Amino acid sequence: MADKNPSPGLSMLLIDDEPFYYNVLKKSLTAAGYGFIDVASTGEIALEKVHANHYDVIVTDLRLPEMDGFEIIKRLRQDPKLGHTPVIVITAKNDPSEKQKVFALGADDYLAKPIQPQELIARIDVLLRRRGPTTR
Amino acid sequence: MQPVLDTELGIQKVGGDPKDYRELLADFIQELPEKIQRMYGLCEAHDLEKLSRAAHNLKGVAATLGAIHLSNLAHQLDEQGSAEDADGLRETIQDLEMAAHVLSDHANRFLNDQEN
Repeated sequence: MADKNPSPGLSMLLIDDEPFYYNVLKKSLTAAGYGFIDVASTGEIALEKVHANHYDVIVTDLRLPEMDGFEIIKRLRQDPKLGHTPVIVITAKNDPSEKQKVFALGADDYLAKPIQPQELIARIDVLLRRRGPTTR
Repeated sequence: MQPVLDTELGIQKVGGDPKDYRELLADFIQELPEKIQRMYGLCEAHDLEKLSRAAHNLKGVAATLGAIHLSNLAHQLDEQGSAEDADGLRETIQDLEMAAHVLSDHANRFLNDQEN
């Protein structure tokens, strides 16, 4: 079987206060050959983690306790070290104005829940292919 | 009529593995009564922001598992909570509770059939 994962060892941070999505995605991403998959249940934890670890891609929900996903994207894009890390938004609300807002803030993609793991993997691959090899 | 539990859709949404789906569904129906009790508590406390977020999360998880009717009711609760429409909240949670019982029956039948 051909290698389906062009980015072996990819590290991802999933920001979501609902552990269900982590359980769904972790298995599929690991099965597809992805490496480190980390999770943060709040924006504060996520920002601590992105400063302590390297992630190739960040996937975030928008509706989170305390700090919402919009604020997270804003802070990531203001940080010179994290400004180019791909950010994919996953949200249960498929709203065109919300989509416009997250893209204006600097998100790279927007997926409405329920998301299929294979679709997320395909979107990550496209983003990373466009950006070329990552430097660590 | 909205389907109570579309297992084919759910399997597809969680990545295509029926075993994974069964595990996720079993966990979900086990945790569901606690989630609904928490919603009653948030409703009593008039914490509409947390109630709306809990409903929002339930909507997404239920939709992923193919529990369409429950997901639609959770969506209704989310909208009511976001609009601070406190009047119908308790009724919608009661509808959710009823739908959760029906869903649990369907899910348990499905899980038992798969075991045999």
